[in-house]
Amino acid sequence: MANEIWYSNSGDLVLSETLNQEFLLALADRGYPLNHPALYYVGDLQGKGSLTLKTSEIGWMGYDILADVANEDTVATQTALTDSSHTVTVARKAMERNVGQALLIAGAPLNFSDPATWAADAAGAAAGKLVDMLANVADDFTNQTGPGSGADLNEIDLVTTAVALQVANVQGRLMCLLHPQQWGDVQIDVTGSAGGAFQYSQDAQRAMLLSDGSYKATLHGLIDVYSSSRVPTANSGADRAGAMFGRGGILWGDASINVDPDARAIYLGIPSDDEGNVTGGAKVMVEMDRNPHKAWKVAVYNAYLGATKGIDAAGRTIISDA
Amino acid sequence: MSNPLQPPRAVGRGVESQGEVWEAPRPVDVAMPPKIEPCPPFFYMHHPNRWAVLGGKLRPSLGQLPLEPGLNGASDGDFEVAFTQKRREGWTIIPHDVMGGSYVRRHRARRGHAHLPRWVRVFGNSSTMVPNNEGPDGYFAFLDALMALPESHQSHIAPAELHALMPMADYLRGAMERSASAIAKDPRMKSRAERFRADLDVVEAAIAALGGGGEVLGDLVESEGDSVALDLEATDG
Repeated sequence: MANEIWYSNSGDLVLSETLNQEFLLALADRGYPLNHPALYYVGDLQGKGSLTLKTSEIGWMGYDILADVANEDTVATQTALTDSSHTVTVARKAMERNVGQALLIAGAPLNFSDPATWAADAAGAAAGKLVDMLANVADDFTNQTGPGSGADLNEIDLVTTAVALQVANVQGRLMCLLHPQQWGDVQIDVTGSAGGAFQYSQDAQRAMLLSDGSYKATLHGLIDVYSSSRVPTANSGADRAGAMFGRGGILWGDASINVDPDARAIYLGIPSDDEGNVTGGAKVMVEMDRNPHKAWKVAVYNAYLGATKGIDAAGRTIISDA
Repeated sequence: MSNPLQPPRAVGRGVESQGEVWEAPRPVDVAMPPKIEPCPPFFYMHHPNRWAVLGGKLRPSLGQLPLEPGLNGASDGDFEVAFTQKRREGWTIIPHDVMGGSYVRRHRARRGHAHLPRWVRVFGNSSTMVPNNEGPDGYFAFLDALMALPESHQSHIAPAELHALMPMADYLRGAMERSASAIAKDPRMKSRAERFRADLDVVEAAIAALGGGGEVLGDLVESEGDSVALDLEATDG
C-alpha cells in the first residue's frame, strides 16, 4: 500500500514548478499621448550647435490692429513689436540594465539575445519619461481652474476651462491631460448626473465608456482628454494638478543620437530614405556591453529630451481631488 | 574527561584553529518601498494669480518647480534659466530652508527616489499618499507662515488681490448655482453646492476686505489710467 506513484511523492521525477514562457506585464502607465497637435515640437537639436533652442513668440499677424487717425495727415502711431521667447534645453535621460550570465544560461521568458527585447523596453522607458516631463511642466500655468482642493472634477469644470482658454484667444484643438482619478471623477459625474444637454450628447455617451490607453474622450468636439498617472500632485498630495492647453502651451524637443560605428548598439527611431539608407540619428540608443569581471551583460538606454511650458495664457492648470 | 559540548582540541604539533564566527544569513530586508514613482527635488513657487480655499481659508496654491535637467530650460547642474523663466512670469521661488529645515523629503520609490513635500506621508508597498495639512506642523501652517513673513522677506506672500479673487468668485458662484439647481434631480449635488457656497463666502469676504477695489499690492500694480478729457465736438468734426 505504500508503493503508489503520486505526483506529490515524486520529487525526483517532476519539478515543483516550471516556467511559463509567456509572461505578464507588470502594471505601469504605458500611455504615450505625444502626437496631439497642441504639443508643440520644437524639433531635433542634433547638429544645431547647441542643446538649447529658443523659440520666439511674436505679436504678429493681427496681434496689433490699426489705430484710428484723427485726420488724413495725422502721423500713424509708432507701434512696438511684442515679443517673448521660450527655451527648450534637452538633457540626457538614461537607464542601465545588467543581466547576469547565470540567468542567460538558465534562460528566462525574456529573450535577452533578441534586440527586439531591448528595443521594446527602451522605447517604453523613453516615451514614458517624455510624458513624465510634459506632465511636470503642465502643472505650473499661472492660471488655474477646477473645483478646488478636495473636490471632485466634473464635466462642467472642463467646459469652463475650455471657455476660459477661448476667451484668451487660444485656437485649435485643446489637449487635456488629467490624472486617472481626475478623469474618473468626471466619468462618475457624467454617469450619475441627470438633466442638462450634455448628458444626451454623443460625447457624453463616449465619456461614460471606460477605456484603456491614454486617450479617453473628446468632449464638446474640441477637448481631447488624455489621462496619465504621471500627472503630479498638488497641495501636499491632497490633489492632482492636471492641465488643459492649446498649441504653444507646452513645448518639447529632442536630440537624435549619432550612429556610432564603434558602438555595439541598437538604434530606435532612425529615419531612412526609400532605399533604406540611414539619414539621421536615433531617438533612443541602446548601447550593449559586457562586464567580464562580473559576467553580466550591460545595456544602457539613452535619449535626449527637453520640455518647457510655452505661452502661459495658452493653458490652465486644473486642480482637483486626488 | 572531555566535555561533550566542546569540540575536541587539536592534538600533536598542529596549532588549534579557533575558526571564525559564522552567522546564519540574516533575513533579507523585506521592507517594501512605497509604490510611488520617482520624482526630482523641487522648489515651491508662488504666483499672485494662484489662490485656493484650503482648510476654510484663502491660501496660496503653490506650484512646484522640478529641479531636473531638460525641464523648463534647465541643463545639467544649471537651473538658472528655469529660475529666470519663472521669475519673469511673476513666480516667487521659495527656498527650501525658508522656515528652517528643508520642506522636501526624499523617499525610496519603486526605483530611485521620490522627492515629496515634507507634509506628504507615504507607506511601504502602497501608492497612497496621505497629506498632513492641518495642525501646527501641517502644510497649511507653512502657507500661513509664508504669508506672515515680513514684506521685506524674499519669500513673503502678499495677500490675494482682486485680479485673482474676482475670477475665483465668478467660478465658485457659477459652480455653486449649477450644483444648487441640480439638487432636485441629483441629491448628491447638495453637499457639492454647500462646499462651493462655503468657499465662495471665503473669497467674497476677502474681496469685501479689499473694498472691492482697494490698493493693489505686490508686483502687479493696479493701473488707474490717465484722465482723458473728451471733446466730442472735435471728434465729430
